[in-house]
Amino acid sequence: MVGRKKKPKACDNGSHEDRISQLPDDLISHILTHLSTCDVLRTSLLSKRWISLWERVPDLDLDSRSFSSFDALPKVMFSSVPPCLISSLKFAELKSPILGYEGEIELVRYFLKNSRVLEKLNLRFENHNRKKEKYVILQELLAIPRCSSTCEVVFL
Amino acid sequence: MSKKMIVLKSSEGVSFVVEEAVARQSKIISFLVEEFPDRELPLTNMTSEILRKTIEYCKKHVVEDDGGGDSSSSSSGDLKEWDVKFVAEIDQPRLMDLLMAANYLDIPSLLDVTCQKVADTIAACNDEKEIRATFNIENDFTEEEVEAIRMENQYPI
Repeated sequence: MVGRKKKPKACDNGSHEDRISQLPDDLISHILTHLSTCDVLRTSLLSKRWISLWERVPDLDLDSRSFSSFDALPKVMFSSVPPCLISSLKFAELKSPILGYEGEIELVRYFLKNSRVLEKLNLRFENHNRKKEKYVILQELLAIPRCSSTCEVVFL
Repeated sequence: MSKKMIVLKSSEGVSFVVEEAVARQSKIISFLVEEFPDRELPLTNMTSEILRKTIEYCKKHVVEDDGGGDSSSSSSGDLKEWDVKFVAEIDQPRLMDLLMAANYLDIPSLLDVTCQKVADTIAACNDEKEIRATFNIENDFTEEEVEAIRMENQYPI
């Protein structure tokens, strides 16, 4: 292998080269695993190089508090099921409490229906939910068919 | 028992004499040392500067690991703090070099620390424009393409 060419001495922010996009896919996905799901998805807008790198991230952490501009969770509308759901997603957690919105139930349904290797899905309930309502929501969530036979749904 | 030393050579031909235990944090070097015990190991794609940084990291970590197998949580906390400071002082191009070096030499903890630093830099940006500016990424999308991605993901990103 040839040694690296000496770089011009960096002034303040270093060179103007795009070093990050030159990293191999594996290293970029390693970086992405240290980001929140929202930040990971944001990277798909950077350039064509980045458009589908987020699909390689094995854990998605869906924090619906970041969807504050919506009354409920937005509909999941991928044109096809993302490959990470089929081959690698093992753990997912909905951090904000489930209140029973259609959008939330749909999101849970989407995950359970399409994640083939999912091992654990964590869901939270709002504490002040009335017992009866909670029971109805719980029933509905548990009745959703699961694509992965080893998937456990945990209510926190 | 005297400590065994090995010699690592950078791309500029500069030799670094390092304790074997320090260098063995790299799985690749660990393997090479066993295969070629008394040889100088040429690391032709690592500059002296990056090799020096990598050795500095390994030295720190081998000392901490030596200080008792069941090191207290405070010492591992100190080590974490040291790691954060270590990457904070490095500018972006060199951070990328160090990340590549950690990957090439197979030093998982250094790879993790450098990736975390890059991730923190991305997370600190307000939007994709700021990320592009920070990392000199050229936007090769048309407005329509960006809209299409936003629509497909349906996330407020």
